[in-house]
Amino acid sequence: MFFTSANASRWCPSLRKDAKRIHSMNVNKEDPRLTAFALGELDDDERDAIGQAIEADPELQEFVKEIGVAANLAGLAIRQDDAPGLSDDQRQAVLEASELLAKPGRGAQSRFWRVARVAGVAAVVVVGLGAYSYWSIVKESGSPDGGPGSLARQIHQIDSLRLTTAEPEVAGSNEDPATLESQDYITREDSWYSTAQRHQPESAKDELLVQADVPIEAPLEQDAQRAPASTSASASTEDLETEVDANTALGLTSLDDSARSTESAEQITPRSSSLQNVQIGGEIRIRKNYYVEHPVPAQPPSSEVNAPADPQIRDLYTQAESEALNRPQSPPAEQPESKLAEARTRLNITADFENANGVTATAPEEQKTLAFFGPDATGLQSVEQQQQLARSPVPPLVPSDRESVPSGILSSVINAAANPGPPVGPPSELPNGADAKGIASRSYDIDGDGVLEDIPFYTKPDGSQVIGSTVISDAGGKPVAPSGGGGFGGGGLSGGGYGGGAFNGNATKYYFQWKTDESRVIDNTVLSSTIQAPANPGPAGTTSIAGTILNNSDGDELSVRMDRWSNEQPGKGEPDPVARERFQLSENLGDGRNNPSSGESLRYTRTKELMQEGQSYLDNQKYSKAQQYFEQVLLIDPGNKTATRLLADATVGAYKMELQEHWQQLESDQQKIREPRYLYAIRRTPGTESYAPIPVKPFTQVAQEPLSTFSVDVDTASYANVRRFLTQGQLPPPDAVRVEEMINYFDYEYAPPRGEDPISVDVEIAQCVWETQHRLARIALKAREVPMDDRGPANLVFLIDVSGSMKDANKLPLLKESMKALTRKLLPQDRVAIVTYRDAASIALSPTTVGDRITIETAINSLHADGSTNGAGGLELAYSVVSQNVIKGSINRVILATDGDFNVGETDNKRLVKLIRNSAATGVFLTVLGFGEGNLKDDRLEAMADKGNGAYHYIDNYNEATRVLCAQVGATLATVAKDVKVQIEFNPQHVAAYRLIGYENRALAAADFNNDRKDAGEMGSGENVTALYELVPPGVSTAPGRGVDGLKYQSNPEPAPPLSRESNPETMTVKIRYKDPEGDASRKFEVPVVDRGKGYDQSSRDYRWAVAVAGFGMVLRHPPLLNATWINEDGAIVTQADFVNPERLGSLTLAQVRDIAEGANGYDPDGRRAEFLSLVVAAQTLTGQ
Amino acid sequence: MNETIGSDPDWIRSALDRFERPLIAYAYRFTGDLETARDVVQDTFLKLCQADVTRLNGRLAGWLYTVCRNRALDVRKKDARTEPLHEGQAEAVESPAPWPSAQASANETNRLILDAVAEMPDRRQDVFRLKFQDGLTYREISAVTGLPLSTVSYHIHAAMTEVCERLRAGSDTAYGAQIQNNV
Repeated sequence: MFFTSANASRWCPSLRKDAKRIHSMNVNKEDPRLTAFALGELDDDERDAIGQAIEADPELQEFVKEIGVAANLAGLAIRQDDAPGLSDDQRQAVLEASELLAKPGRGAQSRFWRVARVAGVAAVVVVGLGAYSYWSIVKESGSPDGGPGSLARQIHQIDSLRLTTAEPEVAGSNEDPATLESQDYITREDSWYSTAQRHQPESAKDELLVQADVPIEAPLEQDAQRAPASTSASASTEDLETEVDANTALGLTSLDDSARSTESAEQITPRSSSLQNVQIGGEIRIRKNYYVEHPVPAQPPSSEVNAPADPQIRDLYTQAESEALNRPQSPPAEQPESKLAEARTRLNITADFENANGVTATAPEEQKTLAFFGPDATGLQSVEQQQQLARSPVPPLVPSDRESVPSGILSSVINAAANPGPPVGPPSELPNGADAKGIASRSYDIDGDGVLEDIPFYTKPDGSQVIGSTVISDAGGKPVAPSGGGGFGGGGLSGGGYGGGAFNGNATKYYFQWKTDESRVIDNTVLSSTIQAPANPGPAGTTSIAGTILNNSDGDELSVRMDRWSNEQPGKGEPDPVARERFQLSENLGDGRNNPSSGESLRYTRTKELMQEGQSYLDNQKYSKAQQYFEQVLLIDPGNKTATRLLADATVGAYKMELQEHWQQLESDQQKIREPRYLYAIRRTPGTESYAPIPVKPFTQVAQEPLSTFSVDVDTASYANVRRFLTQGQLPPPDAVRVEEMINYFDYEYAPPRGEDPISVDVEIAQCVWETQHRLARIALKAREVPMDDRGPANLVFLIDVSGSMKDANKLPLLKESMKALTRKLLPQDRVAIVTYRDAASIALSPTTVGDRITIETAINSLHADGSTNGAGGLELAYSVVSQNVIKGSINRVILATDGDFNVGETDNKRLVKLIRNSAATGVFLTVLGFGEGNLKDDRLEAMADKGNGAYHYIDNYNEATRVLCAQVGATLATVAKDVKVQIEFNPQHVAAYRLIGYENRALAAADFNNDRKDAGEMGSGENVTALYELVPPGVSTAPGRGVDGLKYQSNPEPAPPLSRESNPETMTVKIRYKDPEGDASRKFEVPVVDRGKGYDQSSRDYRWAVAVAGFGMVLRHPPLLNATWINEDGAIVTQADFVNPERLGSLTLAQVRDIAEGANGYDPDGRRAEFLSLVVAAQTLTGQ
Repeated sequence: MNETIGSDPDWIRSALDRFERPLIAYAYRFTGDLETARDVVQDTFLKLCQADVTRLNGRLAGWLYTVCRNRALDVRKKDARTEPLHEGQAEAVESPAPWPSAQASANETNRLILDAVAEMPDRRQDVFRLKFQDGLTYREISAVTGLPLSTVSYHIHAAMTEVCERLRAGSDTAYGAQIQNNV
């Protein structure tokens, strides 16, 4: 048996600190701390305490040594050195990941992930940033030192793609951050899986639309296998990569162009996707490929735009990609430019918001801002920071000699977009304000020299916006008003217009290009075409700027995005002959000039405000506030995906907070429970077990009720159930403790009946231990023992619950073993049948004589648990089987074995009760065996056995099973008297009040005693029944406030006058009424009892044992006596004040119980009394007594 | 190696060396399939590469087992293709066969112990194996399984008591000799 002293000491600081107390506590072999000690798992203070206890006890020393040895052997036995490791590939992948991720950027990256998670950034990559690719390639081919990694990075426009915002539920009970993180991880990964599985590529026409590379979050190979679109085996990954990337590069142009002409965002929704494992630069990423069905352009793109890809490009990409993949494991060399390259990467990511069509596909500003990140990014970057980056020194990327750039590449990418060189002369469509609706000049520090340059914005008569004119700045950066010195040219893309301007300052020349066409509005967002590199960077010393004005639907400028190329003269201290940077002037320039009150404009503004507010609440973890804002956004703008996503984030966040609060509440509750007052809590209803409440019976005045009547009860289930709780380290729920069943669990040396009656009665009265003025009467009944050979043949039907829940080791397997043991005890002429029930009842073994043991055991062995429960059908079948074999004089029994609910409705229940009762009348009795824990329907099973003239036993281990079925085979099977009732008449001369201990649910009305139709308990061969009465002698007051008030309208009942004048020495008379097992008429006999005034010391051993057991039961039923707390069904704590103690148990303690029991522990043939003592000790430990 | 975590560039390699096989064996208990177990363990290590290792100082084993366990349970759940189960039910899912090679044991002592282990309830077996097969401390086991420390302690004790009894009952002389030597 087990008791949680370790537990108690952990929870109770005073115990832990007080080593002496631990020491004095009974440390026995059941104490888990012994094992913990042997394994070195104890804290210092406990180790010392246990160490002392072990030293003091040689037996424990032996035991601990044994555990030590066994632990070593166990370690050796279950060691699995031969477990296979990871495959080489897997291992390699892990090592690579660690190497790459171990760079200083790691921390920042994980920080990014946190940020990204909050913001729920979802973006789509434009892979087709021709200009960028171009520059990358230029750099790669021109610079021998350029790491292939950075090239690859350029090729794969990196994206922070988050498809779902599914967040893990926070496991409320888990404090370990590692656990939280891992759960987080898994959930996130789920979304990857689901995405990959949902989008199975369906057609060979599938074309790669976008590749999104994200840091590793999901198992790589596994994903690859699950997504057939990707490579099916890791071996071919490389090929596919190459191909796919080339495809990307090549396909982009066409996608780009076709989309530019007609495709809308809806038409490019990825239809499928796959995941791949790639290594890019310093990062390992998962590549997510999105496939679309190849879009058919509505209009054939112009040949200029749709120029066939130069084979050289393909080669270059292929080469770059394979280099990237085959790169040796060494980290990329730290090159001077690396920092800038990263910065550039960061800038490139600006373009993430343009999709493959070259249109900006995402909306509000905040999202753009969020996208600025890099391997070492600190997360977010403001536009200012971005501009700072733009100002950082620009290292040489290509030699100044432009001839080294493969011209094919240049043309295929660039020519697609940019047409003219810097034209000369004033812009034709921008006359000096005459044709323009308005000119607004805005100042920006374009060249990063700290001085603002003016940029004029024109609104053309058709409403379109133009950046125009020329900005002239002298070397000191002083802005000069626009002049006609610049030149403008048009042309370029279809429907678009380019303007260009150039000027000469003293030291700096600016060259402008701009583009104002291609604006489309989707979801309130301006979609603008990609900024193109200038075809002609102009003469040395020229800085080129190309900008895109982002408009909203009413034509207001929202922002200006510009790229700058400088073409400085080498050797002048400026290191960068041709470098490109992007910067964005992304303040809202919208002034509503064209349509100041347009709903669209207002809507946009409002949406933006709400989004910003919501975002700031979200950032500050005010989730419910944030929720409100995003909900409002969605009201205004139902299609706003960002808001949807952020709302999801906020909702998840709010839920997390809620859980957190809940958890904190739990924590504080827990803290509270640790207070001494709540230390020893008893759950009234553990799990779904159910117990009938036991009414508390106060003292009864003899003057009012001189008769006490009850039915015998030979059940023992309660004791076994209590034992289960205590051995599991819990106090039993009070209603599980039925005192009479505990008392009757034990054998006593009562004298067997000698006369005609099959039952003997012995009464012993002595001083009551817990209330010394009271007397305690023990009434002992013992049934005649029927020799085994004398009994009639047994006709047993086992009704076995084989529903799924029975398969626990302590249920069906235990039952099967005990059934076999029983079979061996039975006589050859006995018959056994087995009916099983789960969904339906079936006969597993038709009645078979025990002589045919093999058949029986085979049937028993083949029992297995599975399915759900249908008790009613089983019971009916079992009764029908047993009734086929009812013989006069035979023992007919249905033995029901179940672990819980019978799953029958009320109607069925009534029918069953009737069946059980009727069968009992025809001599078929029912024995109920309860198994298992957690779902035990104690009340139900006991009631059923009661109706069926049978006994209810709880089986918690093999010994108990053997005891019930075998050791008591006679008692269990052979009933020697049925409907045994006990009635006691008290003599008011000697007894003023009385109380029956236990038998609460066996109480009968006085008139029932002589009513033969009233059912009562049975007694089997040799069984004994013990009842205890606490008697209050006249003159001793019962507790104040107990009893009844005096009567108002008649005289208070006086003690009935004695029948004779002489005082009758009899204290009481015990009357027994019983029926023969097959009889219908009852017989009665009486035993008068005289109290000889014995003190407790003079009482017999059996008497004292019964008192000890009763005392234990009573204490267990009264949490206040245990100094324990009772938690009721609602989980509320019942305080001690809520308890009445009508039994007036005084100061009865477990220690007293133990003393009494130790003084009576003599007759113990099967070790049950010793076990009882250990249970008392367990309860003491549990309650700290 | 916990002390050098993160500072030694090769720490992940030593983590692999030390935990790769035990973790696969551990994951296998849930998945019952070697390849899946390998995948689970690879995931676990990739996750480790990303984790903030400074926070793992001294808790690496517990962390790895926790992540591995969650991952394995997750995979098993997914593979079971049943309705979502909550954690408790998931545990009740029939446990897969033990590691194949562990069943074959020529040694009588081992056989006795393995029999005892095989007959333990799932949870106890889990705890027992984490202790003796994987060498976790009670605290780590508690963190990994989510069981209270006292429950872990109880299970180990009950398991050890059972093992002791089996060994005592068994006739293996080697065990007796070992006891003698130790006494």
